[in-house]
Amino acid sequence: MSGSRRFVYVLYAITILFILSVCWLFLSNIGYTDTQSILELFSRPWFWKSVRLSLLTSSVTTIIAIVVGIPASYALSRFNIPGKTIIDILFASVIVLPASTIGLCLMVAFQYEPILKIQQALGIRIVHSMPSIIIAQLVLALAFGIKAWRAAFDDVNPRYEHVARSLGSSRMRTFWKVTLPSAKVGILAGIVLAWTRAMAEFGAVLLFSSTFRNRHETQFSHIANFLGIDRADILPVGMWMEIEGGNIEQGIAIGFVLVIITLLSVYALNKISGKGSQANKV
Amino acid sequence: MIRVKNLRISLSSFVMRNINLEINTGEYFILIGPTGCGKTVLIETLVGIRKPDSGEIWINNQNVTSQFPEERNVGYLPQDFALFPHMTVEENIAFGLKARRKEKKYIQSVISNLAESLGISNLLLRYTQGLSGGEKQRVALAGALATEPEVVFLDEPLSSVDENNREILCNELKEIHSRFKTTFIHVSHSFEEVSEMADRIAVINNGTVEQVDTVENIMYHPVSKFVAQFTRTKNIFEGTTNGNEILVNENIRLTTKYKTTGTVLITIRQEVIKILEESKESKESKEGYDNVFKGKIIKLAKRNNIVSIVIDIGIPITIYTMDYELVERIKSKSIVYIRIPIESIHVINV
Repeated sequence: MSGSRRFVYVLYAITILFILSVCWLFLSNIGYTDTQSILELFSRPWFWKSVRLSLLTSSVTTIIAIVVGIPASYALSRFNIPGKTIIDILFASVIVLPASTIGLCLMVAFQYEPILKIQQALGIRIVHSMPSIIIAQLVLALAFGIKAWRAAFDDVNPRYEHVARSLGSSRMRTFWKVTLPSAKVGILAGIVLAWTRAMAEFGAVLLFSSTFRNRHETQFSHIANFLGIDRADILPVGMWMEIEGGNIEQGIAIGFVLVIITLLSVYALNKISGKGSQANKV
Repeated sequence: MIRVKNLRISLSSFVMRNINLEINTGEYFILIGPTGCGKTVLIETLVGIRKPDSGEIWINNQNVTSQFPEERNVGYLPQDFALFPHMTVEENIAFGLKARRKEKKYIQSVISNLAESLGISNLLLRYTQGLSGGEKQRVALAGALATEPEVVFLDEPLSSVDENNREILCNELKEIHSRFKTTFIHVSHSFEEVSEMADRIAVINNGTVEQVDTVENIMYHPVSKFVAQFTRTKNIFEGTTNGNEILVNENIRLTTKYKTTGTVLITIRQEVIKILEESKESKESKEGYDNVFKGKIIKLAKRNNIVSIVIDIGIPITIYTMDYELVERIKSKSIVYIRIPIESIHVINV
């Protein structure tokens, strides 16, 4: 057997082993739950509140991430911003740090005396409040989003912008009409990535926002009541609470819901960036 | 008119300095130089993409040095033309007009006139990805010309085109230039590629302008060894002179029309040296022709339509000829005579 052939077989073997491991990971969990548990979970009002809360916070987080992250990514890609390397390191750190550490940092930051005084003056308290979920999700969604969006802008040849500007187009018009459409695929991939990351966030939310299901109903605002998200936790926190309470089957059932949502997101991500990956096939 | 005064541009460790140019309205002006000499940096500064450290850029009596590209009324075609891939050909051409908030009716009439003039009417609804090099060039030019710019900058527009199509595109560019009468400033690294297109050329080397002149003057009267080499002058020698005679390699005496003293550099274009046939040689020598030398053919090669002959007369002299019959007659001879016309010897003081 030639060296090249042996190398290809080894690659195939490793890939098959990896696929089998992933399948085993999910399938082995099926034994710990059943249709009854899933149906029971679906019949619980708090579950649907959790779904609503997760979808709502992830979507709001993603919208804020888009508004803040896309312009920031463009600036990082195109301008020589002082301290660019430090900014890069900081964002990379957010990605690799344990999410619970981010939650802890956020908790300390929002308890910092001057910030606390501002909160008191405004009559609000961020730590352990429902809006804090969005802040915790936003830090990670932004870190992931900016990484993807910056790469997307880096991929756009600046010559397109130079030509557009030489034709009389302002910098802003050039951004909207040339750069953004050219980076469309990467931008959409970044949005899906940011949303998925926000949806899956657990550690930072648990530390910074805590749990809500067991709080008294008077602790929730009218808006939370109106939106039907009072006394609910985001799905990853809900899953953890079920397992902590000894309801393993229900916890795993929530886990499956999260897996399905994540798989759909990753499928969408692959579909979006499919054009790019096609070009790399040999 | 475009005027560049004492421009200095720095780019990390690379610096362009003392750039002074005057380009006439309607001129086909070429910036030429080897890779890395600063041509693209200069053109990007003229377009407004880069800011110079100092100096001024004037376009039609207006100082545009501090203006953004969108304020300069220029056209810019980069190396790959950078046509917007998410737009059709029509949208690409209309882009500049829309940026200037022109009326729809006006935009339509400009597009149809330009498309017809440049022979791209059949491409208007197509996206730009599948277009050929020539089609891309015409679409990019249509987009740039639509806004009636004072000047169109072309940064190596022929670099990504194969050799067969290069000549066609060169001719097309020249023809479009003469039809629209807009000032064209074209960057290239190849003298052969653009020598037939240019009204004038600026030769750039290592961040400075070495010479600005007509093609003929640059070829026959280079100001430096670099310009001579860059314009493919094959016969470049060092010599010493006293009066109008130059001694090369201690044994070759060349008579020139220049009177100077000291060490000089001489350049002789390979296409002006004549090979003399025996019968003529004795006659021409007797009649008092200077610079007639006897030599031995040491190399003979045909490239494209030109025959390159290297003759050793004590120094190796390269001659280009298209007279194939003459080549046939002399190639079997061991000794030939050549005449170097006095007016073809260009002297550079070193």
